[in-house]
Amino acid sequence: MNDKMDVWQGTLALMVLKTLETMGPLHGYGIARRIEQTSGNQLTVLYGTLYPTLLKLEQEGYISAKWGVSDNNRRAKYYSLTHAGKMQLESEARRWEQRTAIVGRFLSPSEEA
Amino acid sequence: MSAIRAFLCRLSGLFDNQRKDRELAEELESHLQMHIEDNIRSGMTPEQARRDALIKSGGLELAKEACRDRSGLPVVETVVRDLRYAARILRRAPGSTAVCVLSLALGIGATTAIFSVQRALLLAPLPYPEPDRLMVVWQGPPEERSRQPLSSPDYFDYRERNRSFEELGVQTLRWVNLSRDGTPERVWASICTASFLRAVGIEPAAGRLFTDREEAEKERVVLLSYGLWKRRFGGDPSILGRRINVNREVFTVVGVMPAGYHSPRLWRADASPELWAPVQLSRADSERDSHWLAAIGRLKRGVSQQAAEEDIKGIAAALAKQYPNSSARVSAWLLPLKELMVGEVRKSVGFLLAAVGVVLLISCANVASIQFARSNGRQSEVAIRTSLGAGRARVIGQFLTENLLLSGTGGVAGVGLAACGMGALRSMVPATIERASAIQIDGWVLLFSIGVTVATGLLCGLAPALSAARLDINSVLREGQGTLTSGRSRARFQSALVVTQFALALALANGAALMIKSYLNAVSAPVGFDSERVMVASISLEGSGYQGNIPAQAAFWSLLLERVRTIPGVQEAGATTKLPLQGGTNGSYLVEDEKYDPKANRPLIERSWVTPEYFGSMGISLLAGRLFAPGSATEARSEIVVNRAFAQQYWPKGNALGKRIYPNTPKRDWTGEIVGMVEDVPQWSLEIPPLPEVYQSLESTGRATKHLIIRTALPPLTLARAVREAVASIDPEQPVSGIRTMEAVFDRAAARRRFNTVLMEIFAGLALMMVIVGVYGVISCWVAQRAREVGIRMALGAGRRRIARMVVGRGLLISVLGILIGLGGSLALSEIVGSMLYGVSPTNPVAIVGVASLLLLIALLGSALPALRAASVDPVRTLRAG
Repeated sequence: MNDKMDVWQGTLALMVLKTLETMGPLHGYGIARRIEQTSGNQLTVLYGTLYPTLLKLEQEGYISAKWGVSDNNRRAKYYSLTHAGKMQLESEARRWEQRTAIVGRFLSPSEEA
Repeated sequence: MSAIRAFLCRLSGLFDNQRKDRELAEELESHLQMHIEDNIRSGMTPEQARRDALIKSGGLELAKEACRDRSGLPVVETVVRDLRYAARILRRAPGSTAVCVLSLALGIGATTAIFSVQRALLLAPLPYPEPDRLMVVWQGPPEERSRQPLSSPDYFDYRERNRSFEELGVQTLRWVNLSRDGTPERVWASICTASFLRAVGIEPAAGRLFTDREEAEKERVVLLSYGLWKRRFGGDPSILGRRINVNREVFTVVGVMPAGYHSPRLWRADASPELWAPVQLSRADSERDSHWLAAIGRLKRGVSQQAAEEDIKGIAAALAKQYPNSSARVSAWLLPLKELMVGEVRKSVGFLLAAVGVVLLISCANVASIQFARSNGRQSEVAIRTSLGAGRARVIGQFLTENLLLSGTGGVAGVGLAACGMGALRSMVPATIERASAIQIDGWVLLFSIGVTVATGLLCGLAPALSAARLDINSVLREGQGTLTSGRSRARFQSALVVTQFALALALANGAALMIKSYLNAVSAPVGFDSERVMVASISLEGSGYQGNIPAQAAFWSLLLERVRTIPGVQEAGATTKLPLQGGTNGSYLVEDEKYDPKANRPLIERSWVTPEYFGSMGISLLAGRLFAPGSATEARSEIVVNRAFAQQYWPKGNALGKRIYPNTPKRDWTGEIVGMVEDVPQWSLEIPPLPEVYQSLESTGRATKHLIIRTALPPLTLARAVREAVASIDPEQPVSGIRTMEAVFDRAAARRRFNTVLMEIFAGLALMMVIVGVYGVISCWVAQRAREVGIRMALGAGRRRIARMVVGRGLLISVLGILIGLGGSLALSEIVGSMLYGVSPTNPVAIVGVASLLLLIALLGSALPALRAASVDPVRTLRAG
């Protein structure tokens, strides 16, 4: 059994957007690697979850894709953040923080009690 | 926003799949390679690196599948796959597919066509602003809702006293003569109040409406229709202010109405005015019993028809008290304009729609039966698919898709057929029906056809789909074929469908037979005149010199008749103020010693003014006495001729000759002496029996419009030119119009019934054709299922004849059952059907027996071929095959 956590769909989109924001245009392999590294190797990004997510983001207009050439001279599809994607990232990030703050308040030892 | 964008992307992703797949494969491959390279760089052997990368990636094919689902719409793809499969299945049996498509095309096409009639004539709003607020105001005796026009002083009282109408106006329709700007021409004019135009609410395309002031001051102003402006004045851009000649007087054009504008026809359905001019009204109380104005009112917002009617009835009641001599028996009521324009048509269109619905049902039964039979041949296919994991929903979905494809094809073909038939349909609609030219396949009709098509597809596909879904896989797979018992129940279902077809077809064909009989009754009933080789021409003597000048008119006509009689080929020529079957004028008389009484309800008597030669020219026989002598009429006294109905009304047993009649007024200032009695001629339509009529001498009327009647030995219309020349030789500014044969007049009167009858004939014909196909289909199936049984019987010594008899017997049994059920249905519906008939009972035994025999014949025809096939079965081969 793999003890690493599998990434769940909704959050992967957010991670992809954030990755593209910090790293600039990147191919699928690069995104996967970066997310794994950022998670301190606690996450594994599978093709079966990454590529449908990329496709969805592209269809929604948050990222755009272009064929390019990688550092090792390999043809690869590069994804980059669009303007709409930036806005989406901001609002999603804000929502995420709110949500975790609320859940956190329930889970942390209560101060008023 | 982004969700919509994504949906559109996925929709477009349905196409160009292969390129997408290739790109994805390439992208994933490059991902994998990069992973492997990284692994090698971190010190793995190429072998290890590849293995590790593949494990970590979590399966390439899975990723591709997930992306494929995401890039398209999986549901749509399933549907597309089902459609492809369905098309393949349908192509595999081209014969029965063609029969299905043709059945549906005819059913859906006919339904579409009739719906387009309903839409144009009944459903589409009238082409006036807020048409629901438009009401026609009729007068009539308080106890009946008869459609009598208003008198001029009554109109003023209604208009000024009512609290319900935003605007109320009146019009009358008249022929007017146009001269000087080209050849003399006679056109319909709406002589109306300014308020009438405002009530209708249509603004002119150029210029303005005329005003209340112009109407009150009797100014000679006129509005032209768009068509008249284009036709007669060549679309003259400076038409406004131009002076034109109407009835030999100069009128100033103040406006041109928009193209396609039709003035509401309140009075004469066949008149479509091309000119509007102010009417001259009088408030004099002596005019109260002269009813000649059709009124239209626009309700104030929020006022109901009922409230307005109470309002107007209140005014009528007050007037009845105020003027008992003229108005004691006059009340008023409202009829929505839409009712007036479509009311009469509604019933017959509803009837046709029901008939065409029956045709559609019969065609559905055909398709359901064929599809059902076909689905049986596919039991093992369905069983295999189910055992491979296809859910019940998928199986039903597949069958429904197949039927929707079928009905969709039928629907497209049907709408195509309907579109082709539109021209014929439009030309068949009687000209007296408002807005026949608006019949077309528009968006609504198309929507309706799509709805019908989908419903048809579901209806036809439901039985096969459900039976396939209920299939017991095990028994089918084990036995390879459906069992005998399931075959029996299938045959029962199909037979039930055909029984239904027979029942529906009987009801429809019986209805058609009754309609045909009614039509024949209507056109073959004695009309009292002889329309063969009679030419009619209409001439209106209008304007100064003629108007109100009876001697001048009489001089024109006697000169014209004299000249016409010298035209070669003319046998007899006369004149009349009204033609048979065209409606006309009526009034009431006092007969012998009857005393004037404003409260008495005297019968309406039709009135004509004719020359003595009219009767001969029209072929109306003189039954008793003589015709009036020329020049015998004076202002105070006339010789008159009455029709048989008049004589019977007043002297059922006695003799009418020598009796006297007087006008129904307080003063007896005129006396008519009956000198002759002639045969009845229907005045209003072929189906309204002749009413009592009084004929007076043409010399005694100043009515402008008269009709020239010529009996000839030649084809009647060949005289047209000579007649025009004769008129021009007397008065070159005088137009002649309405040159037609008397047969055309007759045909026109029969047009509406002919329209209904022809359509019913077509529908019944379609239904019978489909029933042949239906019975053939079900009997063939039955024979096929029983091939083995037939083989055994033959092996045991049954003769071929006996086998054939058995098969035909089956067909007859089905048809008899259907006929009996259809008879029951027809009897139940006889009251509704009866209201469409003329001179024939809805339970006419001849029609029913005839139609039932026809259906039996059809059952025979439909089962003959399968019977022959059964009789030619080779017992040895079938037994071996079984």
